[in-house]
Amino acid sequence: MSDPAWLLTVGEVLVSLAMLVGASFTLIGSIALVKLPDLMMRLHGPAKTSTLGVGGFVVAAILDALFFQEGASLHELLIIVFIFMTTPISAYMIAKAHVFRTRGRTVQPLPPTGRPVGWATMDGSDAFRADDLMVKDRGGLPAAEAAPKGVTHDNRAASQ
Amino acid sequence: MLLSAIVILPFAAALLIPVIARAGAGASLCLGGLSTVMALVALLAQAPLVFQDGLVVERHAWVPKAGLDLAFFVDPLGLLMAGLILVIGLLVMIYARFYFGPKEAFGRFMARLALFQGSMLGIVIADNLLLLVIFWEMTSLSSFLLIGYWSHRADSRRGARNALVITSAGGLALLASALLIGHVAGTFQLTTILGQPDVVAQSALYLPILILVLFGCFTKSAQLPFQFWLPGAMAAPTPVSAYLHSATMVKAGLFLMARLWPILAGSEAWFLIVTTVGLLTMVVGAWIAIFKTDLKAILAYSTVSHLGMIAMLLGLGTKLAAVAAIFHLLNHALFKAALFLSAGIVEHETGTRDINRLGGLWRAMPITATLSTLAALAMAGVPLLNGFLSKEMMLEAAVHADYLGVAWLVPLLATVGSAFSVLYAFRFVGRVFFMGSGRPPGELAHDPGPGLWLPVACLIIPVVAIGVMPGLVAQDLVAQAGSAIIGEDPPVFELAIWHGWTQAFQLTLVAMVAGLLGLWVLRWLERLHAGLWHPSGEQIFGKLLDAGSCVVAWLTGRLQNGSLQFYLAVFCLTGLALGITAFWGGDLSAGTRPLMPLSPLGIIGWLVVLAASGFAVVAHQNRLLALIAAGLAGLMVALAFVAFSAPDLALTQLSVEVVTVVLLLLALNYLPKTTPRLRPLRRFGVNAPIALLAGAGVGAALYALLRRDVNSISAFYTAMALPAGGGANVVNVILVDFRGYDTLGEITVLAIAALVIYSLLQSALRGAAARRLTEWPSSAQAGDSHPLLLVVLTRLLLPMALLVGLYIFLRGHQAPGGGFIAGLIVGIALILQYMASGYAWASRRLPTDYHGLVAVGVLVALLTGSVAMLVGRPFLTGGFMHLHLPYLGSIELASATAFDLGVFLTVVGVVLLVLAGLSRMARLAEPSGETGPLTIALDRGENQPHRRTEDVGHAPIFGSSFARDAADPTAKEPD
Repeated sequence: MSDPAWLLTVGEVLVSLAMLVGASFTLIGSIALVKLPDLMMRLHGPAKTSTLGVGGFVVAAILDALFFQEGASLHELLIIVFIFMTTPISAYMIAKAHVFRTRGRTVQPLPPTGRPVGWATMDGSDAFRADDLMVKDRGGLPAAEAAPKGVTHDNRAASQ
Repeated sequence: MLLSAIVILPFAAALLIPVIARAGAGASLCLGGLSTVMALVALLAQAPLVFQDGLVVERHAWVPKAGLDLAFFVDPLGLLMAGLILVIGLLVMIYARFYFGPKEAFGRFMARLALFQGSMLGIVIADNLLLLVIFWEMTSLSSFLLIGYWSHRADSRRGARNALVITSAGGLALLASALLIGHVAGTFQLTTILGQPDVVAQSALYLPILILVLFGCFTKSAQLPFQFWLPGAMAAPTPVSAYLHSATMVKAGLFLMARLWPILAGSEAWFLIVTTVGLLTMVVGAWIAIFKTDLKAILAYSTVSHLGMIAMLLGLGTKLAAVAAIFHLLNHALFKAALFLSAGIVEHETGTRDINRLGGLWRAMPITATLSTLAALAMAGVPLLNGFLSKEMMLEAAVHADYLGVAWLVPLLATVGSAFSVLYAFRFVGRVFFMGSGRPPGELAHDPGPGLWLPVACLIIPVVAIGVMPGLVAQDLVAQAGSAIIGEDPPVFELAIWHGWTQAFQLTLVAMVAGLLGLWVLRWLERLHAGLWHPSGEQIFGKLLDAGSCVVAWLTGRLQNGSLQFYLAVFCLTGLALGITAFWGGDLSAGTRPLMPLSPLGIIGWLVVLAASGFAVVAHQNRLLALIAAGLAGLMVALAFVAFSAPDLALTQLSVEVVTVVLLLLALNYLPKTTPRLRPLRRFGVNAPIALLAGAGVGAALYALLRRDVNSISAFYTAMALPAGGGANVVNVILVDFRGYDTLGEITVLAIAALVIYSLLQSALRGAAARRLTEWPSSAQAGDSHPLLLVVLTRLLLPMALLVGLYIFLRGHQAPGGGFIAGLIVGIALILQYMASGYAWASRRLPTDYHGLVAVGVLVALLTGSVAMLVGRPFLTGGFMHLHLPYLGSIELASATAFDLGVFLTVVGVVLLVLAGLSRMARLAEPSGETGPLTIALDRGENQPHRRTEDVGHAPIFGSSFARDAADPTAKEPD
């Protein structure tokens, strides 16, 4: 190694830092998974672990290769890219399933979306019978509220 | 080359006719006629040689190890038969062109006829017994297609089925006899076998051979008690009856008896069986023919009778009788084909074949009447026509026959049969053309165009010519054919109209007079007949078939009782028994290979697999959970492959696991979510030990195997992969090169499996299954089935995934990868699109015929393999070269890559085909669409709630037209 000593030190510090960041996110995420009371909250834990936690480790690996091996390898970046693509989707799907499966049974109603349409998961399904959640949600809209299938008709009206 | 051309030409025509059938009936006729004429020219080109040398032989090796060669030979007998087949075939083709209405699928008929013609030619000129049996069975199959040509008619289907069952049963017997003869004679070559007649005749297996051969021949030639299929086959179009059931196919049995005459005839058993059956068939057939009222039924039973007569002649075993047999075979083919064709004309013109409704047609149809009358007189044996000569010869032979010391029996029965044939022949023409007059169907009738009557006239010319000038026209041919049967010079005989006041002539006169007297007392005979018992062979056979089906259904129900536990238990116990037997004789020690150290990761993986499997057992009632557990176990197995340095296997396992789980999930969507509860622990005490024993057995076997240094072929593969296969990735080289044949078989099986899945799912779209699906309880479904997040990301992922697939495919020969894995990866990438964006959206953007894709894949692999054959190497021989390209580096071009491409296409096609099948089901179960991962039919009129989702969600990203397209309610699935 012909690199000056200070560069190696900087490298060591950077790699350690990255690993620490990854480790802390992993630890925090794990604690969240155990501690938090509700699925929607718990969901954040693994999501952070697999994005930021793994991301930290991957950055550490890249830096390690840059400073102490033959040179930077960018393969690891692909891992980050794919994890950043897949994790939000799986978290989203889990949340969606949760929202749908506990509909009408939750203590707290879903908060309003603040838009003319309701929650995507609850909306747009024939099977869904104008839950009180939804009716509350669309309080601001005129017309068609009384119709039994108001949800679908409203949607159409909203889109046109 | 000429001999095989005779057989190949009709088959080529059969292949080509469907291609050009759309060009019209004329084109089909031209092609069929052309092939027939060319085959006839090829045959006649051999004639001088045949008459000079006695036979012409041509041989090509086919399956030498099985003794099966493409060997043909033509001797005078073969020449006569082949000539008959071709000439009558040509006439029948021309006749059929005018017989069928414009709406009939004439091309299909011609193709089948050509198929039959080729098979029949194969029988008469094959020089290999096995080849002969193959052609024999092909005539059964093609005659099935021809008899069942009007497949919408129940009698057609029944007739075709009976003919097929009876004649192919005979074919099986014939195959057995051919194998026995080959065993005895040491060869399947017919010329050799015929050259040493004593070998078979004196072997201990003579009787079994004789019985099996005769079973085959009697079934084919409609001898008692198998005669009933022939009248049943009259449901076929008349040209078929004329060709198959008078001139050619039914003669195949007689031909074979004549062919094997030198090695089989002459024994007591032959004489007794053949003569008895022949005589009985002759008399009974003729007797029944007298009372039939359907024209074709009369002709059918008369054919049965004449076939019996020829069989009887062959059975007599004397040389003169054999000559008479072949002479009558020729004569009968001519006049009977003419009669059938005339009957066809009558039906064509009057619309009926019932002689009670016909009469006096000679005024309206003078040409047809003349031709039919001549043919019928020939059938009756009236002098100056060919039938007279052969009948007289027959009676001459019969006079000298001595049946178990009773000298008068054979002549008597032969005379009776002749008298009957005189009777029904006169009744036939009399009732149709002369007696009665101008009944309703006859009024409109008139002679048809020459297209219909000219073929009949062409058949009548030789009938008359032989009858008037037998010595000039037929003497040589019959003598030569006769000597070909006998195997030596024929006895001296002279074909002449007048032999003097011989016994045979007296008997002919007696028969003639008796027949005419019979006409006088016909009404009395009919009353007599009505009072007799008529067993119906067809009904008896039907009952036998039903009984057989019952037995088979019972047996199948026993063996295949539908219990998976039972099957598994049988399977496991069989495996256990085999394993234990193998262990017993072998070495029970643990083996000498040192154990490998346990790694903590390995233990964890092992525990996970155990836990997943255990969980699947416990939670098997919840199908989704069980599936997830199985998927988990699969993933761990993939990891194990990685740990043991098998990246190819790992990649394959991983992608297979993903595809399987996804497709299973989609399928489970339309199955009950839980399995029915098994009757608790009822058979637990039996099943659990079996399961544990089987598991332990497999474990023990694996342990024993892994502890030993097994000398396998893998060292050879590893060493030869690069030098011989041109690839560094041994696994891939094995798959696409060393064991390419296996892979070809596997992708074929895969393709078949996909097609089966698709068609099984198709059946779920009809009937009761479809009703259950439409009434599918629509459980509450979450909205937003195509989440924006998923849609956008999968679309971004698609090109990357395709690139990965391409990369894996290209590098497959050198590094882990290959067509199979690449296919699965691309398949997964596409499945993802279908799941994220809905089936309609995705399939409109990939408008591929998945069936076609699968087929193209298999074909590409097959063609790649065949290329090697073009350069004279064995099938699937590989070749490779390295190509250096700028930027891309060294690229290897191997034939294996093309083969791998076939694998790739097949796999992609299979995955998509199954997906398509599942989504068709989904469309039926949830016509509202938008409920599952696959949105298919968006056909909900204007009330489209998801349209909003699409517009709001997608419009900013992809533009409104794109989004509207995606939500098109009339989206159709392209299949």
